[in-house]
Amino acid sequence: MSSSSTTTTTTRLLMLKASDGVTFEVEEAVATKLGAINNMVEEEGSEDLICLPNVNGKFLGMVLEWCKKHANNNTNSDKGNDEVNKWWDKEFVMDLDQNTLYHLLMAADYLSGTELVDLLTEKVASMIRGKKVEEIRETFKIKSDFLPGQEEEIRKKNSWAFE
Amino acid sequence: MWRDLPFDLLANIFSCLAPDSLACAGSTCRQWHTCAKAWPFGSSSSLSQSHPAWFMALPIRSHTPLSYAQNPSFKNWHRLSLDFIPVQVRPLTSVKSLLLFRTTNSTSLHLVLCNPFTREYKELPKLNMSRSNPAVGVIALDDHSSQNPSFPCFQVYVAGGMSEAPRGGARYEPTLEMYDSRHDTWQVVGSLPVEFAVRLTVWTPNDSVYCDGVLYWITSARAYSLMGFDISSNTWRELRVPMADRLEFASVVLRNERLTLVGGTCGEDASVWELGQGDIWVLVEKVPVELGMKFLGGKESWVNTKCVSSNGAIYLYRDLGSGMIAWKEIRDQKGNWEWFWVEGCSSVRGKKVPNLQIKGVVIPPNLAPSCFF
Repeated sequence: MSSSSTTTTTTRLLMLKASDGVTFEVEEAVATKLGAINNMVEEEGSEDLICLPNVNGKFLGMVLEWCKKHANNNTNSDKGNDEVNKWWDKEFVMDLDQNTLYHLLMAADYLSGTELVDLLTEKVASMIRGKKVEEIRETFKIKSDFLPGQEEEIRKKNSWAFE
Repeated sequence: MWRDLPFDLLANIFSCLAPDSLACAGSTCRQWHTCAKAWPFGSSSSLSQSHPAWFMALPIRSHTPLSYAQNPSFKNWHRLSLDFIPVQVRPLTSVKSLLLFRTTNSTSLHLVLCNPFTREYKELPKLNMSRSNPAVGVIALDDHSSQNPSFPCFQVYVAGGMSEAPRGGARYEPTLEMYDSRHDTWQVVGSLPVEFAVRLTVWTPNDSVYCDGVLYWITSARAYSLMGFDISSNTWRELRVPMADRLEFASVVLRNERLTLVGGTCGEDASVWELGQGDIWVLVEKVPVELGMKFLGGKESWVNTKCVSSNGAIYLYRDLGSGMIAWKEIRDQKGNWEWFWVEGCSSVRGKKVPNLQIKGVVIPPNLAPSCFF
Protein backbone atom coordinates (compact mmCIF):
# COMPACT_ATOMS: atom_id res chain seq x y z
CA MET A 1 0.00 0.00 0.00
CA SER A 2 1.35 3.47 -0.81
CA SER A 3 2.41 5.64 2.06
CA SER A 4 0.14 8.56 1.21
CA SER A 5 -2.96 6.59 2.00
CA THR A 6 -2.02 5.80 5.55
CA THR A 7 -0.01 8.74 6.79
CA THR A 8 -1.77 11.90 5.67
CA THR A 9 -5.23 13.20 6.44
CA THR A 10 -6.03 13.73 2.75
CA THR A 11 -6.95 10.24 1.63
CA ARG A 12 -5.74 8.96 -1.68
CA LEU A 13 -8.22 9.03 -4.54
CA LEU A 14 -8.60 6.24 -7.05
CA MET A 15 -10.11 6.43 -10.53
CA LEU A 16 -12.31 3.49 -11.41
CA LYS A 17 -13.24 3.07 -15.04
CA ALA A 18 -16.31 1.01 -15.92
CA SER A 19 -16.80 -1.04 -19.09
CA ASP A 20 -18.73 1.79 -20.77
CA GLY A 21 -16.00 4.32 -20.06
CA VAL A 22 -17.74 5.99 -17.14
CA THR A 23 -15.22 6.87 -14.45
CA PHE A 24 -15.63 7.31 -10.72
CA GLU A 25 -13.29 9.11 -8.39
CA VAL A 26 -13.43 7.47 -4.97
CA GLU A 27 -11.45 7.49 -1.79
CA GLU A 28 -9.19 4.51 -1.46
CA ALA A 29 -10.75 3.58 1.89
CA VAL A 30 -14.12 3.29 0.16
CA ALA A 31 -13.00 1.36 -2.91
CA THR A 32 -10.93 -1.13 -0.93
CA LYS A 33 -14.09 -2.38 0.74
CA LEU A 34 -14.21 -4.36 -2.47
CA GLY A 35 -11.84 -7.29 -2.28
CA ALA A 36 -10.96 -7.17 -5.98
CA ILE A 37 -9.93 -3.52 -5.81
CA ASN A 38 -8.09 -4.01 -2.56
CA ASN A 39 -6.01 -6.71 -4.27
CA MET A 40 -5.27 -4.50 -7.27
CA VAL A 41 -4.19 -1.62 -5.04
CA GLU A 42 -1.91 -3.89 -3.05
CA GLU A 43 -0.40 -5.49 -6.13
CA GLU A 44 -0.07 -2.52 -8.41
CA GLY A 45 0.69 0.02 -5.73
CA SER A 46 0.88 3.43 -7.31
CA GLU A 47 -1.52 2.83 -10.18
CA ASP A 48 -4.37 5.29 -9.68
CA LEU A 49 -6.57 4.34 -12.62
CA ILE A 50 -8.26 0.97 -12.36
CA CYS A 51 -10.16 -0.43 -15.33
CA LEU A 52 -13.09 -2.73 -14.65
CA PRO A 53 -14.12 -4.20 -18.00
CA ASN A 54 -16.82 -6.46 -16.54
CA VAL A 55 -19.00 -3.87 -14.83
CA ASN A 56 -20.89 -1.06 -16.46
CA GLY A 57 -21.17 2.43 -15.02
CA LYS A 58 -24.68 2.14 -13.67
CA PHE A 59 -24.00 -0.85 -11.46
CA LEU A 60 -20.47 0.19 -10.50
CA GLY A 61 -22.03 3.44 -9.32
CA MET A 62 -24.51 1.56 -7.17
CA VAL A 63 -21.86 -0.70 -5.71
CA LEU A 64 -19.71 2.31 -4.83
CA GLU A 65 -22.68 4.07 -3.28
CA TRP A 66 -23.10 1.10 -0.97
CA CYS A 67 -19.35 1.05 -0.16
CA LYS A 68 -19.37 4.76 0.61
CA LYS A 69 -22.25 4.46 3.05
CA HIS A 70 -20.65 1.57 4.86
CA ALA A 71 -17.20 3.19 4.94
CA ASN A 72 -18.70 6.38 6.40
CA ASN A 73 -20.80 4.61 8.95
CA ASN A 74 -17.88 2.54 10.08
CA THR A 75 -15.61 5.51 10.82
CA ASN A 76 -17.57 6.71 13.83
CA SER A 77 -17.39 3.67 15.98
CA ASP A 78 -20.43 4.00 18.20
CA LYS A 79 -22.71 1.11 18.84
CA GLY A 80 -25.68 2.38 16.89
CA ASN A 81 -23.74 1.91 13.68
CA ASP A 82 -24.84 -1.62 13.13
CA GLU A 83 -28.41 -0.46 13.36
CA VAL A 84 -27.76 2.40 10.94
CA ASN A 85 -26.09 0.05 8.47
CA LYS A 86 -28.91 -2.45 8.75
CA TRP A 87 -31.52 0.22 8.20
CA TRP A 88 -29.62 1.64 5.26
CA ASP A 89 -29.11 -1.82 3.72
CA LYS A 90 -32.83 -2.43 3.95
CA GLU A 91 -33.53 0.80 2.08
CA PHE A 92 -30.86 -0.04 -0.47
CA VAL A 93 -32.39 -3.36 -1.52
CA MET A 94 -36.04 -2.48 -0.92
CA ASP A 95 -37.10 -1.40 -4.38
CA LEU A 96 -34.60 -3.24 -6.57
CA ASP A 97 -36.28 -4.90 -9.53
CA GLN A 98 -35.09 -8.35 -10.46
CA ASN A 99 -33.13 -7.06 -13.47
CA THR A 100 -31.13 -4.51 -11.45
CA LEU A 101 -30.73 -7.02 -8.66
CA TYR A 102 -29.20 -9.54 -11.04
CA HIS A 103 -26.62 -7.16 -12.51
CA LEU A 104 -25.82 -5.70 -9.11
CA LEU A 105 -25.25 -9.17 -7.68
CA MET A 106 -22.97 -10.07 -10.60
CA ALA A 107 -21.06 -6.79 -10.19
CA ALA A 108 -20.69 -7.23 -6.42
CA ASP A 109 -19.50 -10.78 -6.93
CA TYR A 110 -17.00 -9.74 -9.63
CA LEU A 111 -15.66 -7.02 -7.34
CA SER A 112 -15.55 -9.41 -4.35
CA GLY A 113 -17.78 -7.20 -2.23
CA THR A 114 -18.56 -10.05 0.14
CA GLU A 115 -20.88 -8.17 2.47
CA LEU A 116 -22.83 -6.71 -0.43
CA VAL A 117 -23.08 -10.14 -2.07
CA ASP A 118 -24.52 -11.50 1.18
CA LEU A 119 -27.03 -8.66 1.35
CA LEU A 120 -28.19 -9.21 -2.24
CA THR A 121 -28.21 -12.99 -1.82
CA GLU A 122 -30.59 -12.66 1.11
CA LYS A 123 -32.73 -10.28 -0.94
CA VAL A 124 -33.02 -12.84 -3.74
CA ALA A 125 -33.82 -15.57 -1.20
CA SER A 126 -36.57 -13.39 0.26
CA MET A 127 -38.10 -13.12 -3.21
CA ILE A 128 -38.25 -16.93 -3.42
CA ARG A 129 -39.53 -17.71 0.08
CA GLY A 130 -43.15 -18.74 0.38
CA LYS A 131 -43.75 -18.64 -3.39
CA LYS A 132 -45.09 -21.42 -5.55
CA VAL A 133 -43.02 -22.72 -8.46
CA GLU A 134 -45.00 -20.75 -11.03
CA GLU A 135 -44.67 -17.58 -8.98
CA ILE A 136 -40.91 -18.03 -8.74
CA ARG A 137 -40.68 -18.49 -12.50
CA GLU A 138 -42.71 -15.36 -13.01
CA THR A 139 -40.67 -13.30 -10.56
CA PHE A 140 -37.35 -14.25 -12.12
CA LYS A 141 -38.54 -14.60 -15.73
CA ILE A 142 -37.44 -18.22 -15.83
CA LYS A 143 -38.84 -20.54 -18.49
CA SER A 144 -39.00 -24.21 -17.60
CA ASP A 145 -36.52 -26.23 -19.63
CA PHE A 146 -37.33 -29.63 -18.15
CA LEU A 147 -37.77 -32.56 -20.45
CA PRO A 148 -41.29 -33.96 -20.73
CA GLY A 149 -42.16 -35.87 -17.57
CA GLN A 150 -39.09 -34.68 -15.70
CA GLU A 151 -40.91 -31.93 -13.84
CA GLU A 152 -43.69 -34.24 -12.71
CA GLU A 153 -41.10 -36.66 -11.42
CA ILE A 154 -39.31 -33.95 -9.44
CA ARG A 155 -42.57 -32.67 -8.02
CA LYS A 156 -43.63 -36.12 -7.03
CA LYS A 157 -40.44 -36.61 -5.08
CA ASN A 158 -41.05 -33.49 -3.01
CA SER A 159 -44.82 -33.52 -3.22
CA TRP A 160 -45.13 -32.46 0.41
CA ALA A 161 -43.71 -29.03 -0.40
CA PHE A 162 -46.12 -28.25 -3.25
CA GLU A 163 -49.67 -27.14 -3.57
CA MET B 1 -30.54 -14.44 -17.04
CA TRP B 2 -31.41 -15.86 -13.60
CA ARG B 3 -31.45 -19.35 -15.02
CA ASP B 4 -27.77 -18.99 -15.80
CA LEU B 5 -26.68 -17.44 -12.52
CA PRO B 6 -23.24 -18.80 -11.59
CA PHE B 7 -23.54 -21.94 -9.55
CA ASP B 8 -21.77 -20.58 -6.45
CA LEU B 9 -24.02 -17.53 -6.27
CA LEU B 10 -27.10 -19.65 -6.72
CA ALA B 11 -25.85 -22.00 -4.00
CA ASN B 12 -25.41 -19.00 -1.68
CA ILE B 13 -29.00 -17.99 -2.34
CA PHE B 14 -30.30 -21.52 -1.85
CA SER B 15 -28.42 -21.86 1.43
CA CYS B 16 -30.72 -19.13 2.82
CA LEU B 17 -33.84 -21.18 2.03
CA ALA B 18 -35.77 -23.62 4.20
CA PRO B 19 -36.51 -27.05 2.67
CA ASP B 20 -40.02 -26.18 1.43
CA SER B 21 -38.89 -23.04 -0.40
CA LEU B 22 -35.85 -24.88 -1.69
CA ALA B 23 -38.01 -27.67 -3.12
CA CYS B 24 -40.03 -25.07 -5.03
CA ALA B 25 -36.96 -23.18 -6.25
CA GLY B 26 -35.39 -26.46 -7.36
CA SER B 27 -38.40 -27.24 -9.52
CA THR B 28 -38.25 -24.13 -11.69
CA CYS B 29 -35.61 -25.15 -14.25
CA ARG B 30 -32.84 -27.67 -14.83
CA GLN B 31 -29.96 -25.47 -13.68
CA TRP B 32 -31.73 -24.60 -10.42
CA HIS B 33 -32.69 -28.22 -9.93
CA THR B 34 -29.08 -29.36 -10.28
CA CYS B 35 -28.00 -26.74 -7.78
CA ALA B 36 -30.74 -27.58 -5.26
CA LYS B 37 -29.63 -31.19 -5.32
CA ALA B 38 -26.16 -30.09 -4.20
CA TRP B 39 -27.52 -29.45 -0.66
CA PRO B 40 -25.82 -28.75 1.73
CA PHE B 41 -24.12 -25.87 0.03
CA GLY B 42 -20.91 -25.56 2.04
CA SER B 43 -20.04 -22.41 3.90
CA SER B 44 -18.90 -20.04 1.17
CA SER B 45 -21.29 -17.40 2.45
CA SER B 46 -21.55 -16.01 5.94
CA LEU B 47 -25.32 -16.28 5.52
CA SER B 48 -25.39 -20.03 5.38
CA GLN B 49 -25.88 -20.31 9.12
CA SER B 50 -27.89 -23.21 10.31
CA HIS B 51 -31.62 -22.98 9.83
CA PRO B 52 -33.92 -23.37 12.82
CA ALA B 53 -35.04 -26.91 13.56
CA TRP B 54 -38.55 -28.06 12.59
CA PHE B 55 -41.19 -29.42 14.94
CA MET B 56 -42.44 -32.71 13.59
CA ALA B 57 -45.63 -34.34 14.78
CA LEU B 58 -45.63 -38.12 14.42
CA PRO B 59 -49.05 -39.72 14.82
CA ILE B 60 -48.75 -42.54 17.34
CA ARG B 61 -51.24 -44.73 15.55
CA SER B 62 -51.76 -44.47 11.81
CA HIS B 63 -52.31 -47.03 9.10
CA THR B 64 -49.48 -45.79 6.93
CA PRO B 65 -46.50 -44.08 8.51
CA LEU B 66 -47.02 -40.34 8.42
CA SER B 67 -45.63 -37.09 9.77
CA TYR B 68 -46.61 -33.45 9.94
CA ALA B 69 -43.88 -30.81 9.92
CA GLN B 70 -43.93 -27.13 10.66
CA ASN B 71 -41.67 -24.57 9.03
CA PRO B 72 -40.87 -22.43 12.09
CA SER B 73 -40.42 -19.26 10.03
CA PHE B 74 -43.68 -19.35 8.10
CA LYS B 75 -45.64 -21.34 10.70
CA ASN B 76 -47.22 -23.37 7.90
CA TRP B 77 -47.68 -27.11 8.27
CA HIS B 78 -46.74 -29.78 5.75
CA ARG B 79 -47.84 -33.37 5.52
CA LEU B 80 -44.94 -35.71 4.85
CA SER B 81 -45.98 -39.21 3.98
CA LEU B 82 -43.61 -41.88 5.24
CA ASP B 83 -45.16 -44.52 2.98
CA PHE B 84 -41.66 -45.60 1.92
CA ILE B 85 -41.40 -47.46 5.23
CA PRO B 86 -42.77 -50.88 4.31
CA VAL B 87 -43.77 -51.97 7.82
CA GLN B 88 -46.17 -50.74 10.50
CA VAL B 89 -44.31 -48.55 12.95
CA ARG B 90 -44.73 -46.48 16.09
CA PRO B 91 -42.65 -43.35 16.70
CA LEU B 92 -40.13 -43.41 19.54
CA THR B 93 -37.84 -40.41 19.24
CA SER B 94 -35.39 -38.63 16.97
CA VAL B 95 -31.63 -38.55 16.70
CA LYS B 96 -29.96 -35.79 14.69
CA SER B 97 -32.12 -35.45 11.56
CA LEU B 98 -33.49 -38.98 11.76
CA LEU B 99 -36.74 -40.35 13.13
CA LEU B 100 -36.60 -43.50 15.21
CA PHE B 101 -39.52 -45.93 15.11
CA ARG B 102 -40.24 -49.39 16.43
CA THR B 103 -42.12 -51.90 14.36
CA THR B 104 -45.52 -53.00 15.60
CA ASN B 105 -45.75 -56.39 13.93
CA SER B 106 -43.88 -58.15 16.71
CA THR B 107 -43.72 -57.71 20.46
CA SER B 108 -39.94 -57.86 20.57
CA LEU B 109 -38.18 -54.61 19.86
CA HIS B 110 -37.17 -53.96 16.29
CA LEU B 111 -36.04 -50.46 15.30
CA VAL B 112 -36.39 -48.50 12.08
CA LEU B 113 -34.74 -45.19 11.25
CA CYS B 114 -35.71 -42.81 8.49
CA ASN B 115 -35.06 -39.39 7.06
CA PRO B 116 -38.50 -37.98 6.23
CA PHE B 117 -37.10 -35.46 3.75
CA THR B 118 -34.93 -37.74 1.62
CA ARG B 119 -37.36 -40.65 2.03
CA GLU B 120 -34.59 -43.02 3.08
CA TYR B 121 -35.07 -45.70 5.72
CA LYS B 122 -33.18 -48.48 7.36
CA GLU B 123 -34.13 -51.34 9.66
CA LEU B 124 -31.59 -51.77 12.40
CA PRO B 125 -30.17 -55.26 12.92
CA LYS B 126 -31.65 -57.57 15.54
CA LEU B 127 -30.65 -57.08 19.15
CA ASN B 128 -28.49 -59.70 20.83
CA MET B 129 -31.14 -60.27 23.48
CA SER B 130 -34.60 -60.32 22.00
CA ARG B 131 -36.84 -58.27 24.34
CA SER B 132 -40.18 -56.52 24.51
CA ASN B 133 -40.94 -53.13 25.96
CA PRO B 134 -37.45 -51.96 26.94
CA ALA B 135 -36.44 -48.33 27.46
CA VAL B 136 -34.83 -46.76 24.40
CA GLY B 137 -32.42 -43.83 24.51
CA VAL B 138 -30.25 -42.09 21.95
CA ILE B 139 -26.95 -40.23 21.97
CA ALA B 140 -25.95 -37.96 19.09
CA LEU B 141 -22.20 -38.10 18.55
CA ASP B 142 -19.95 -35.51 17.00
CA ASP B 143 -19.93 -36.03 13.23
CA HIS B 144 -16.22 -35.27 13.08
CA SER B 145 -15.61 -38.78 14.30
CA SER B 146 -16.67 -39.98 10.87
CA GLN B 147 -14.76 -39.51 7.61
CA ASN B 148 -17.93 -38.88 5.65
CA PRO B 149 -19.74 -35.62 6.45
CA SER B 150 -23.12 -36.99 5.37
CA PHE B 151 -22.85 -39.97 7.70
CA PRO B 152 -24.71 -39.52 10.99
CA CYS B 153 -22.81 -40.72 14.05
CA PHE B 154 -25.03 -41.76 16.92
CA GLN B 155 -25.76 -44.51 19.40
CA VAL B 156 -29.00 -46.11 20.47
CA TYR B 157 -29.23 -47.65 23.95
CA VAL B 158 -31.78 -50.24 24.91
CA ALA B 159 -32.22 -51.12 28.58
CA GLY B 160 -34.37 -53.64 30.39
CA GLY B 161 -37.52 -55.07 28.86
CA MET B 162 -39.01 -58.54 29.08
CA SER B 163 -37.08 -61.45 27.64
CA GLU B 164 -37.39 -65.20 27.61
CA ALA B 165 -35.85 -66.80 30.65
CA PRO B 166 -33.30 -69.58 29.97
CA ARG B 167 -35.67 -72.18 31.49
CA GLY B 168 -38.82 -70.87 29.91
CA GLY B 169 -41.14 -68.12 31.07
CA ALA B 170 -40.41 -64.44 31.03
CA ARG B 171 -37.98 -62.34 33.01
CA TYR B 172 -36.85 -58.75 33.29
CA GLU B 173 -33.85 -58.51 30.99
CA PRO B 174 -30.89 -57.37 33.09
CA THR B 175 -28.70 -56.17 30.19
CA LEU B 176 -28.12 -52.98 28.29
CA GLU B 177 -27.35 -53.01 24.59
CA MET B 178 -25.89 -50.31 22.40
CA TYR B 179 -26.19 -49.81 18.66
CA ASP B 180 -23.43 -47.74 17.08
CA SER B 181 -24.21 -46.30 13.64
CA ARG B 182 -20.54 -46.47 12.63
CA HIS B 183 -20.41 -50.23 13.14
CA ASP B 184 -24.04 -51.05 12.43
CA THR B 185 -24.14 -53.67 15.17
CA TRP B 186 -25.60 -54.17 18.63
CA GLN B 187 -23.33 -54.86 21.54
CA VAL B 188 -24.15 -55.74 25.13
CA VAL B 189 -22.43 -52.94 27.01
CA GLY B 190 -23.64 -53.28 30.56
CA SER B 191 -26.05 -54.67 33.05
CA LEU B 192 -28.67 -53.19 35.28
CA PRO B 193 -29.90 -54.04 38.74
CA VAL B 194 -33.25 -55.80 38.72
CA GLU B 195 -35.12 -52.90 40.31
CA PHE B 196 -33.99 -50.66 37.43
CA ALA B 197 -34.87 -53.32 34.86
CA VAL B 198 -38.34 -53.58 36.34
CA ARG B 199 -38.96 -49.87 36.39
CA LEU B 200 -37.53 -49.24 32.92
CA THR B 201 -39.83 -51.95 31.62
CA VAL B 202 -43.02 -51.34 33.54
CA TRP B 203 -42.95 -47.56 33.28
CA THR B 204 -41.97 -47.74 29.58
CA PRO B 205 -40.31 -44.39 29.37
CA ASN B 206 -39.57 -43.27 25.83
CA ASP B 207 -38.05 -39.90 26.52
CA SER B 208 -34.34 -39.92 27.17
CA VAL B 209 -31.82 -37.15 27.58
CA TYR B 210 -28.05 -37.45 27.38
CA CYS B 211 -26.23 -34.99 29.61
CA ASP B 212 -22.67 -34.96 30.98
CA GLY B 213 -21.96 -38.58 30.18
CA VAL B 214 -25.20 -39.86 31.69
CA LEU B 215 -28.22 -41.12 29.78
CA TYR B 216 -31.42 -40.30 31.70
CA TRP B 217 -34.90 -41.74 31.44
CA ILE B 218 -37.91 -40.40 33.31
CA THR B 219 -40.66 -42.71 34.52
CA SER B 220 -43.94 -42.32 32.72
CA ALA B 221 -46.23 -41.68 35.70
CA ARG B 222 -46.35 -40.45 39.29
CA ALA B 223 -44.43 -40.45 41.45
CA TYR B 224 -41.91 -39.41 38.85
CA SER B 225 -38.24 -40.23 39.13
CA LEU B 226 -35.23 -40.23 36.86
CA MET B 227 -32.99 -43.18 36.15
CA GLY B 228 -29.54 -42.38 34.86
CA PHE B 229 -26.93 -44.62 33.29
CA ASP B 230 -23.37 -43.36 33.51
CA ILE B 231 -21.81 -44.56 30.27
CA SER B 232 -18.14 -44.52 31.25
CA SER B 233 -18.47 -46.05 34.72
CA ASN B 234 -21.28 -48.43 33.75
CA THR B 235 -23.28 -47.49 36.85
CA TRP B 236 -26.89 -46.60 37.46
CA ARG B 237 -28.31 -43.91 39.65
CA GLU B 238 -31.68 -42.56 40.57
CA LEU B 239 -32.60 -38.89 40.74
CA ARG B 240 -35.54 -37.45 42.60
CA VAL B 241 -37.93 -35.16 40.79
CA PRO B 242 -39.29 -32.00 42.43
CA MET B 243 -42.96 -32.35 43.49
CA ALA B 244 -42.78 -35.86 42.07
CA ASP B 245 -46.10 -36.98 43.55
CA ARG B 246 -48.02 -33.86 42.55
CA LEU B 247 -46.95 -33.25 38.96
CA GLU B 248 -49.57 -34.11 36.36
CA PHE B 249 -46.95 -34.35 33.70
CA ALA B 250 -43.18 -34.35 33.85
CA SER B 251 -40.72 -34.35 30.97
CA VAL B 252 -36.98 -34.34 30.94
CA VAL B 253 -35.30 -32.23 28.26
CA LEU B 254 -31.97 -30.62 27.51
CA ARG B 255 -31.55 -26.86 27.62
CA ASN B 256 -28.21 -25.06 27.29
CA GLU B 257 -26.49 -28.43 27.79
CA ARG B 258 -28.19 -28.85 31.16
CA LEU B 259 -30.59 -31.46 32.42
CA THR B 260 -33.95 -29.72 32.56
CA LEU B 261 -37.30 -30.81 33.89
CA VAL B 262 -40.67 -29.46 32.79
CA GLY B 263 -43.76 -30.25 34.81
CA GLY B 264 -47.13 -28.90 35.88
CA THR B 265 -49.49 -29.31 38.81
CA CYS B 266 -53.27 -29.17 38.71
CA GLY B 267 -54.66 -25.64 38.85
CA GLU B 268 -51.22 -24.09 38.86
CA ASP B 269 -48.53 -22.99 36.44
CA ALA B 270 -46.16 -25.33 34.68
CA SER B 271 -42.56 -24.88 35.76
CA VAL B 272 -39.06 -25.47 34.44
CA TRP B 273 -36.28 -26.71 36.70
CA GLU B 274 -32.62 -27.14 36.03
CA LEU B 275 -30.38 -29.66 37.76
CA GLY B 276 -27.81 -27.69 39.72
CA GLN B 277 -24.86 -28.50 41.95
CA GLY B 278 -25.32 -31.41 44.31
CA ASP B 279 -28.29 -32.79 42.35
CA ILE B 280 -30.53 -29.95 43.55
CA TRP B 281 -33.32 -28.90 41.19
CA VAL B 282 -33.43 -25.13 40.72
CA LEU B 283 -36.60 -23.45 39.50
CA VAL B 284 -35.57 -21.37 36.48
CA GLU B 285 -38.84 -20.35 34.85
CA LYS B 286 -42.60 -20.62 34.93
CA VAL B 287 -44.81 -20.91 31.87
CA PRO B 288 -46.54 -17.49 31.51
CA VAL B 289 -50.05 -17.65 32.98
CA GLU B 290 -51.86 -16.46 29.85
CA LEU B 291 -50.10 -19.02 27.64
CA GLY B 292 -50.81 -21.75 30.17
CA MET B 293 -54.52 -20.85 30.22
CA LYS B 294 -54.70 -20.78 26.43
CA PHE B 295 -52.98 -24.17 26.30
CA LEU B 296 -55.31 -25.75 28.83
CA GLY B 297 -58.37 -24.23 27.17
CA GLY B 298 -60.32 -23.48 30.31
CA LYS B 299 -59.43 -26.70 32.09
CA GLU B 300 -57.14 -26.89 35.05
CA SER B 301 -55.40 -30.13 34.34
CA TRP B 302 -52.04 -30.58 32.63
CA VAL B 303 -52.70 -34.29 32.05
CA ASN B 304 -51.57 -35.47 28.59
CA THR B 305 -49.10 -32.62 28.21
CA LYS B 306 -45.86 -33.67 26.56
CA CYS B 307 -42.63 -31.87 26.06
CA VAL B 308 -39.72 -32.03 23.63
CA SER B 309 -36.58 -29.97 23.19
CA SER B 310 -33.95 -29.26 20.60
CA ASN B 311 -30.99 -26.97 20.53
CA GLY B 312 -32.49 -23.64 21.58
CA ALA B 313 -36.17 -24.55 21.89
CA ILE B 314 -38.56 -26.35 24.23
CA TYR B 315 -42.07 -27.24 23.06
CA LEU B 316 -45.05 -28.17 25.23
CA TYR B 317 -47.66 -29.96 23.15
CA ARG B 318 -50.67 -32.23 23.55
CA ASP B 319 -51.99 -33.53 20.25
CA LEU B 320 -51.79 -32.62 16.57
CA GLY B 321 -54.58 -30.05 16.49
CA SER B 322 -53.97 -28.25 19.78
CA GLY B 323 -51.79 -25.19 20.03
CA MET B 324 -48.34 -25.48 21.56
CA ILE B 325 -46.26 -23.41 23.91
CA ALA B 326 -42.68 -22.84 22.82
CA TRP B 327 -39.80 -21.42 24.83
CA LYS B 328 -37.08 -20.38 22.41
CA GLU B 329 -33.68 -18.82 22.44
CA ILE B 330 -33.70 -15.52 20.58
CA ARG B 331 -31.17 -15.78 17.80
CA ASP B 332 -29.34 -12.47 17.84
CA GLN B 333 -29.37 -12.03 21.62
CA LYS B 334 -27.46 -14.98 22.95
CA GLY B 335 -28.78 -16.38 26.16
CA ASN B 336 -32.20 -14.74 25.94
CA TRP B 337 -35.22 -17.03 25.85
CA GLU B 338 -38.79 -16.00 25.03
CA TRP B 339 -42.19 -17.69 25.20
CA PHE B 340 -44.32 -18.12 22.10
CA TRP B 341 -47.69 -19.52 21.16
CA VAL B 342 -47.54 -21.93 18.21
CA GLU B 343 -50.73 -22.97 16.40
CA GLY B 344 -51.28 -26.69 16.07
CA CYS B 345 -51.96 -28.46 12.82
CA SER B 346 -55.67 -28.50 12.08
CA SER B 347 -55.34 -28.20 8.32
CA VAL B 348 -52.72 -28.54 5.60
CA ARG B 349 -53.27 -26.17 2.67
CA GLY B 350 -56.91 -25.72 3.45
CA LYS B 351 -57.54 -29.43 3.87
CA LYS B 352 -58.80 -30.37 7.29
CA VAL B 353 -56.61 -32.76 9.26
CA PRO B 354 -58.09 -35.11 11.86
CA ASN B 355 -56.83 -34.57 15.37
CA LEU B 356 -54.39 -37.31 16.31
CA GLN B 357 -52.32 -38.39 19.28
CA ILE B 358 -48.75 -37.55 18.44
CA LYS B 359 -45.16 -37.90 19.47
CA GLY B 360 -43.37 -34.60 18.91
CA VAL B 361 -39.75 -34.32 17.85
CA VAL B 362 -37.66 -31.35 16.79
CA ILE B 363 -35.12 -31.99 14.05
CA PRO B 364 -32.95 -29.96 11.71
CA PRO B 365 -34.17 -30.92 8.23
CA ASN B 366 -31.51 -32.77 6.29
CA LEU B 367 -31.93 -32.97 2.53
CA ALA B 368 -28.73 -34.82 1.74
CA PRO B 369 -28.97 -38.52 0.94
CA SER B 370 -26.71 -40.50 3.26
CA CYS B 371 -24.72 -43.66 2.77
CA PHE B 372 -25.99 -44.72 6.20
CA PHE B 373 -29.12 -46.05 4.52
